[in-house]
Amino acid sequence: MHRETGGGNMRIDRETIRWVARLARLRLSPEEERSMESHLGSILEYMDILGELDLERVEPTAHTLGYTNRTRKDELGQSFRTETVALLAPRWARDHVVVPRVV
Amino acid sequence: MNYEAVIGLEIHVQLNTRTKCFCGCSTEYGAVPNSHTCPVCLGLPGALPVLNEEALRKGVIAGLSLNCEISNFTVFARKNYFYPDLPKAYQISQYALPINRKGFVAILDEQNEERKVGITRAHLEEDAGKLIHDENPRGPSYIDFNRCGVPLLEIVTEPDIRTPEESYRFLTAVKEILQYTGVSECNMEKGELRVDVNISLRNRGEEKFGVKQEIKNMNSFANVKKALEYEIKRQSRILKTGGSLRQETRLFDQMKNVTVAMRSKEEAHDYRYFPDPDLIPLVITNEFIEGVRAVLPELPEKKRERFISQYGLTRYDAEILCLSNKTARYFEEASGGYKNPKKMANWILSELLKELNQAKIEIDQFPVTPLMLKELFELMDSGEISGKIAKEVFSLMASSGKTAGEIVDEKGLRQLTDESHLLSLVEEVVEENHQAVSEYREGKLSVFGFLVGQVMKKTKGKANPHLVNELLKKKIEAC
Amino acid sequence: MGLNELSVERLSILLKKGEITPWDVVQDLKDAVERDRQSELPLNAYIDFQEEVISREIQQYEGGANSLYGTPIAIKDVINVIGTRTTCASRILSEYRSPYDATAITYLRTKGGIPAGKLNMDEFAMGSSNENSAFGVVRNPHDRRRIPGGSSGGAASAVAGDLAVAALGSDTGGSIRQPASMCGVFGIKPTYGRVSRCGLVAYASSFDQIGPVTKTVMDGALLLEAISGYDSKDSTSAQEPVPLYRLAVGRSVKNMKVGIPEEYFGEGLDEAVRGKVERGINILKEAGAQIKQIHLSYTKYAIATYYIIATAEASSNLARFDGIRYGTRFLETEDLIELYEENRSMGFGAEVKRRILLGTFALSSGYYDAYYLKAQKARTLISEDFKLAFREVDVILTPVSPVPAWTIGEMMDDPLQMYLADIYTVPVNLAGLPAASVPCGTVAGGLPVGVQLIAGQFREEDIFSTAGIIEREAQ
Repeated sequence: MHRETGGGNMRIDRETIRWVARLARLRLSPEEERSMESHLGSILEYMDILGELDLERVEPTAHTLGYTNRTRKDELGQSFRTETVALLAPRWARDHVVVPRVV
Repeated sequence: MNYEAVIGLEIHVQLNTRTKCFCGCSTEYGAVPNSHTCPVCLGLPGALPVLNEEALRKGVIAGLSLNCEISNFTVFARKNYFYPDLPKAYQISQYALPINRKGFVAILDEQNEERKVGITRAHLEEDAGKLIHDENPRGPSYIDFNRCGVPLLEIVTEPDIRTPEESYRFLTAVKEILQYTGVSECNMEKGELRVDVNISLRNRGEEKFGVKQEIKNMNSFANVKKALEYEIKRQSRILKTGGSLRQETRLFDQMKNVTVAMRSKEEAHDYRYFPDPDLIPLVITNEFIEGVRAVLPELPEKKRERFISQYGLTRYDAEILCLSNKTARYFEEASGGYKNPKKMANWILSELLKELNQAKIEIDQFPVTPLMLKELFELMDSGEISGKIAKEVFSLMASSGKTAGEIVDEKGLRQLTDESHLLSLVEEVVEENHQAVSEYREGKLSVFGFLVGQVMKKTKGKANPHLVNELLKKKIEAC
Repeated sequence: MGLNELSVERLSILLKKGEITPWDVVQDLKDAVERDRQSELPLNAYIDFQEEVISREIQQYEGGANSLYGTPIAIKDVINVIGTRTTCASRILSEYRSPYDATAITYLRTKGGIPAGKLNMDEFAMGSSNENSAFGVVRNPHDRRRIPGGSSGGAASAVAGDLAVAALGSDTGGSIRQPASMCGVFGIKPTYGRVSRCGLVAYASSFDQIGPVTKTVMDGALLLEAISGYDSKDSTSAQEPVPLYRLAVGRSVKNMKVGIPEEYFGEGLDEAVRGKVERGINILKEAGAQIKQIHLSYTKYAIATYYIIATAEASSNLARFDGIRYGTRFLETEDLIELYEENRSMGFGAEVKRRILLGTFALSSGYYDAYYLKAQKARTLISEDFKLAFREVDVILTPVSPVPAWTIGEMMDDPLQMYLADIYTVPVNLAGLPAASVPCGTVAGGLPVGVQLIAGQFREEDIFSTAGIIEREAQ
């Protein structure tokens, strides 16, 4: 299970990490940014192994089961009582979930 | 510098299924907030979606009525972004392989030429929740998840529209078609239909597209037209003075009739679409599609043509009658087996619409049913009541809900058609009005009306005037 | 002997006869958990073991339910059980109480199983060592300085340490099999779609399955029978009938063909582990099975394929955790973006963040084709590998983990290294096949080693027959 430890590689730079973090709504400390850069870098470098494969005429797998057409009838099912939703919500007022003002 | 506007529309229509797209919660409008939710539409951990078969069927109906190609193989995809009204932080939508593609809707352009506006795609997706804001501008926002998960059809047009008026006509045509096929009422006030527009300008004759502006927040077709009119002015002004446009999203301000750039830090969205692994692909067979096509209601344009040829109506009459499937249906029921559909159409377009406007109701809430209207016409045709009386009776039918027969009997409105009785009255009048009769004989034809009036007075207006005319003439000529 | 030391099979007989009650079993479990808490290096297998909650469950049980008759079953904290916290070992859900039951739990109850206690795990099922929990590390009962494996570390540790009679875990890339192997217990991941995923907090929707972690192969069969079956609320649920798996346990394997893939026995496999796995092969051979060398030539691409797809799906599945509708809101702020970033950053641990970032990247514009699409294609090749193999053999036998349980903290600085240790287990999830780990001896230090048995789609019975034989002979 030995693996060559590459030096810091440029596959994923600080800018990209920040942009991806923003997409994922994650805020990273400078410490975390540094460790992510190194860890994700080596992981992504490893992923390059897929470049060895000739995938041109291969179909992507949609589902291993091969089923299609799973639907349900347009009939009423069980809904939560409003109290249940209220109990789950960290902030609740006037029958609504409360959030900071959305511009 | 002659600029040409290039306009495309993005329309979201709520499909009127009983339950949501991926769960069994009710889609009922106006319910107590957060009373129609469950783990699925709330995005609770571990919850899974299952497609509503009726949403699929209505999607196919809509696709067929918009002349689209229905895909035999269609897949749902996740559209990922963060917003408080989106519980899963992704919307289940469609990306590659949408259910409907390459359709069109025909409209009349401003030169009254028929034009086909292309529909790039019309796909299925789920609606988000509703956000409202505290009255205090520094207050929070509130989320109601009842609407979350209601099935939507997103219709995207080709940039084939060229004027604000065409946009209006296109929207009207689409609304009509979708109402006709019963997949949605398209009521914008209830949020059942929403429109966003894309507009860019380019020099006439040029092929390259200009810089696109997206406009949102128009809550009526009229406002769509106004927003586009404003945009054309604004963009022309900038381009004429040598300025340049940046691709942006703008909001329509209906108080000022202008569009305003959105102030929020609009980052480019990266939706990271990928096929939703919780849902499996749909195979839509040609049998299924033909089965749906076979029971499609007659679409507006066909119906109009048929009304013209089958009932001998003018295009104008046909158009107004067919504006709503309900009105068209009313007309056909009332005219079924009736010998003078044109007369029926005229009545509906004048008297009936007047009553509807006054009472501010829809034709399916009108107390006078098509059969009741037919009865009224039969009374007119048999001469039992005059046209003038019929109008009064109709008004009373509308306000009371009673039938024509009931009202005519109650108020004793039946015209006298008993010839012998009328004859005796005619003879009385002739007796009593020697002067007038001689004047008539001498050629003063206008006196005839006076004599008819005298007979009518004796019958308190209930005599059938045509019959009185006939009898009076015969009597005078006979003397 | 405490009742907590018995098997499900044994307990259900005693319960059925009325010689003991469910509460009696829970008492012994509770005592064991208490004793463990006081010990120097507690296993820390549970996040919640609450008497009142369990007592309510027992009160609701009406009795006489075949086949578990009131046996308490511990549940990995990634599965919704009404009335319990379902934290997924994360701070962001530390206050989330399930308002609904997972379907597997509903089915379990119908068969007389009583959900009792929520088990510790790697946060959001992401990990191979149970060191990624917001509720502390879990230890291996065979050597408390070592990991129990992950992500169902709490399940394997509890069952091996007699803190639970049996457990339900989940497996996305080996999370049932690897800890079962490291703790010397039985664990099976069923065919994808065999058990409903409704109510299982999703990590990678294409791979996740709930499965039993048990002391014996027979217990595994009984539990799998109890939770399997079609669920209309899960669009990926299979409509295959559920056989009586118990009848297959230890059934004769004469003339059954067992495939040994060369690619799983290369370098990187610890010698002592290899020895134990070869013992497993010999046991089957002596029981009359035919051993065949096979090739699964795309094996080396499995880790990359798995981690791209799994993290991509996970990045989307975990986006709903924002503290808005449920869970913990760490910060009340005026700014919406700050609310999202703060809640998620404070709520998620490092490994979860790492995988979310990786997955988000793999799906992002410009990279989708290079990563996600490519991986889904590679997945087809790996699945085909297995399809072809199962034309030649009935069952495939491999190691579960290249090494036995490592010490706590040893691999935490090198995530990639830990991912690579999943090499034998992830291909199974990619192909959606059933696979189990059955104990097959120990190596130096008394560390258990498991043998992996993989079968064709919905052929769990073949696993139960071979596993039963190995279990019997490996004693």
